[in-house]
Amino acid sequence: MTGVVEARIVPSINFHGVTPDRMMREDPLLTARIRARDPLVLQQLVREHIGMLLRVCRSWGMSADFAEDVVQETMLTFIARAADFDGRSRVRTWLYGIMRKKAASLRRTADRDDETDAIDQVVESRFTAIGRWGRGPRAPDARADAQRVRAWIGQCLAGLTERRRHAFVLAEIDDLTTDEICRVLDVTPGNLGVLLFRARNGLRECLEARGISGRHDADV
Amino acid sequence: MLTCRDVARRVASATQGGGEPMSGMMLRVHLLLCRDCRRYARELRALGDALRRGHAADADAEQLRILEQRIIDLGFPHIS
Repeated sequence: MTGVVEARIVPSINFHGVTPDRMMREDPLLTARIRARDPLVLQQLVREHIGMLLRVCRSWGMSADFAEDVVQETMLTFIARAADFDGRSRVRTWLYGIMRKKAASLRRTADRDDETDAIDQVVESRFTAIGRWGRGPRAPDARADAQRVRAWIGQCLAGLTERRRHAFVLAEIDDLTTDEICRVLDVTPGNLGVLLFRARNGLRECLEARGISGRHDADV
Repeated sequence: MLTCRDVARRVASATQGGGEPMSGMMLRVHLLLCRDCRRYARELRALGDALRRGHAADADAEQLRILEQRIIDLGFPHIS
């Protein structure tokens, strides 16, 4: 299992296009106006970002009402602390960071990710001793599957630990770089890789257990 | 030489960011040759697609406008 625990992030598969893997900085001009607490700029940022923040909160599994509360508290904190914004990360990265802490403090159900986990064993059991697929993933029926995956993914997400859910959603839903996600979650790239590995395999197993992976059929 | 296990680990822990070109090349070759790994990668991609295409639907415009107004009222009490 050490291999999994040590799993490093090797972001060599581009799931949807290449994004430079680095901490992006905010535009200096915008940073200056944020620090000066320019109300027009801050209000514009509220307008620009609340849609995505709300979407991330909902994907993290919050009810509509709770998500609105968290987004509101996040933006109010951002407005109150605007003078501290240093521009070394993008505004959205800063917002996600605030929001993650708000979500945790408003709910108070921190959970831990232990060094090893049942999902690691489940994944490992699929491979033969020489590392080939023993019990391979079954081929989904592409079209019917997309709909069913969408229908079930919310429930399967709810079964993940909070940190895995946060990592998975941030990695998939917005165009954050690896370093930005790490900053938001306050983890190392290695930790992030493990969180994503467990989140994705947990979701995949959850869907497969519900028969959503579909038929065992023809070649890809 | 990458095993399927190696490929699965890398695919499942990947982010959208750029990475190491050599291992990217080896991964691509492996995926080209290995049906099971292709299926696995495709299933994981479908998870992200499902999330993006809205398991959590976007809030409607009216709801967003109300929230925006509430935040601005609370955040800038001296203006409104």
